[in-house]
Amino acid sequence: MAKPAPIATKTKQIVLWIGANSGGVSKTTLAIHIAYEMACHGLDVAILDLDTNVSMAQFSGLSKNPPWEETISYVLSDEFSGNWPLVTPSWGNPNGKVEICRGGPVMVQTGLELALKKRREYILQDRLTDFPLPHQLVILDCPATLGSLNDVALAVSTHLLIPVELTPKSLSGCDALLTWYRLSCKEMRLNPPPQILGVVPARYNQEESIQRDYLKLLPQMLGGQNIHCYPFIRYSREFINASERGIPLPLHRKSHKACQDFLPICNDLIASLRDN
Amino acid sequence: MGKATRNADFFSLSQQTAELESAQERIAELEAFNQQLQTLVGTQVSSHAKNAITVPITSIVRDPEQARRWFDPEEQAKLTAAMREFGFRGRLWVRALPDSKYQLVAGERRLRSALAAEFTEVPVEILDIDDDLAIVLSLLENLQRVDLNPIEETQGILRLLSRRLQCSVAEVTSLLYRMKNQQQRQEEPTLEESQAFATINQVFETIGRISWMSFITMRLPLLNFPQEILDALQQGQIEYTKATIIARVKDEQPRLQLLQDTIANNLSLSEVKLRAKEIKPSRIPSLQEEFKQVIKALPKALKDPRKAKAAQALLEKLKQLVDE
Ligand SMILES: Nc1ncnc2c1ncn2[C@@H]1O[C@H](COP(=O)(O)OP(=O)(O)OP(=O)(O)O)[C@@H](O)[C@H]1O
Ligand SMILES: [Mg+2]
Repeated sequence: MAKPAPIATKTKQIVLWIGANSGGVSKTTLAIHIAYEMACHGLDVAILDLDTNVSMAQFSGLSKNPPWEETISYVLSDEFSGNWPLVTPSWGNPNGKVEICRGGPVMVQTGLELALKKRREYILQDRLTDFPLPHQLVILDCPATLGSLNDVALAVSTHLLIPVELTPKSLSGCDALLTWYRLSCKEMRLNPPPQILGVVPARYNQEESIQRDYLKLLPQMLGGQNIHCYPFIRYSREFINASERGIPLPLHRKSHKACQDFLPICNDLIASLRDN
Repeated sequence: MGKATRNADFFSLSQQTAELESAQERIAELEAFNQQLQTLVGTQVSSHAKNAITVPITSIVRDPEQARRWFDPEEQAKLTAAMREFGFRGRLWVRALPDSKYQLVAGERRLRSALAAEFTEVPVEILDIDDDLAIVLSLLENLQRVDLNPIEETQGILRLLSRRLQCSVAEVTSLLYRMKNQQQRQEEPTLEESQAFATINQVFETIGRISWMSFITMRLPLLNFPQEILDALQQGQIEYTKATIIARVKDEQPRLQLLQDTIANNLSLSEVKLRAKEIKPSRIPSLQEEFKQVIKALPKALKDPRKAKAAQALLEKLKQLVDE
């Protein structure tokens, strides 16, 4: 089944699903920093937070307790009539704009209720078809477990970015995610299936020898499946400090080296948007 | 723990799934070919797991007649780079020849990249087929290519037809024109002709991308391109899009020049277009045209009193000439 293209967007839209099969590997941090960097390049970005935790609201400086009508849960409900509840964080206007649709604990209920819907896996795809977003980039931040909300994300995404930590647990989780991805694409008959943009080693700490070793081995581990491996995003406490302040790292520590770590991914996204 | 002892085997599950997927794709591909072959020649190709082996790359021979021609060099380079990085994926289809040699049936593009990447061995799947089937299969595979240009497609279909009809390509062409004429004039074909026409019909239905009628009207004329351009295309020296532009230049001398320049300097499509446009037909202009041009430039010249005087004299002479 071909994915219907959003009608109102003149140019190509990338729907980037940031997925991992383990918690705390930087999904939300990546979402925010990629969004910010892309907006600095003049692109408009929407982040749809499908996660049940409040990290997205916390890290972006938004209220962690929005009314239900201002969450993605409302968008996925039968009551939604096309008015996307997007909010702009204080840092969301560097050039292009970043707008966020929050998730949070309400998503637990939404996840459960999905089981009762007719086109459950395609619910977000249907929303984006019926009520297209004008943003060039839509980022989906998802829960760490491969449940129904990740099916929803997979069905609508055009690209997939997979952060891993260089630990046995996270790497094994990545293996399971990739297996799940292949089987689900087939089961859901996604045609074309979302493209794997790459795997990105996140929270990389070069002090640890196991991480250094895995970093060297990773391209080879993924090579058999033709999967690209991005340069690492380094570990820094400043990420945590920035997230506490609800702003991206470049606004917290402008010349911090880690700010550059997101560029290879953003360059690929920009190139891919230009292709059209 | 040292580097050497690090366990790097984290991705075996997804790797297996991916391999299964590509095996299934291969099987699906073979099944699709089989369906085509079934309708074309009433045979199936069989392939068993035991026929999947790895052989020295030097043991693979290519039939020069069948070798694919134009390959997008950029795509080819990408494939080579991917092979260097990730190794050879999938299997080439070959059939066994005497002396432990193998004839390539399908996979010319991957073989080229494997050679460029200096592989010494490649995985193959040995198909148990005869000469005739090998050629048909190879032609069919060739017709699946994404970068097949219309001329190659035309030539490939003609070759396939000539194989099926057991006659030369020239004879196929004349048969096709006869088929078209008879259809248009609603004449009765002879028994022999109607059998040939049925085969032709079947081939076009199997290929399923163009009707025999539009093949005759749209494609066959392409083969009337100047020979040097057909040659350049065949040798992969030039892209189809550029060739069509150059072919439109009527005069042989500038056309040859443009072709040479395009190949030598790898001119871009827009450069080729520009050059082709600049080439004026080398026809001698008529007297009338020359007069028109002179008259167009006259008003400016008349501003010069000396020239105006001379023109006056010439005008008198012309008047006399017209009145004679
Ligand atoms: N490069 C980094 N260096 C240091 N800390 C980081 C880095 N990236 C993320 N963190 C911190 O690690 C924690 C987990 O990151 P984050 O919330 O982005 O991961 P996640 O994958 O979204 O987690 P979850 O599965 O809980 O949604 C956060 O406290 C975050 O600030
Ligand atoms: Mg998160």
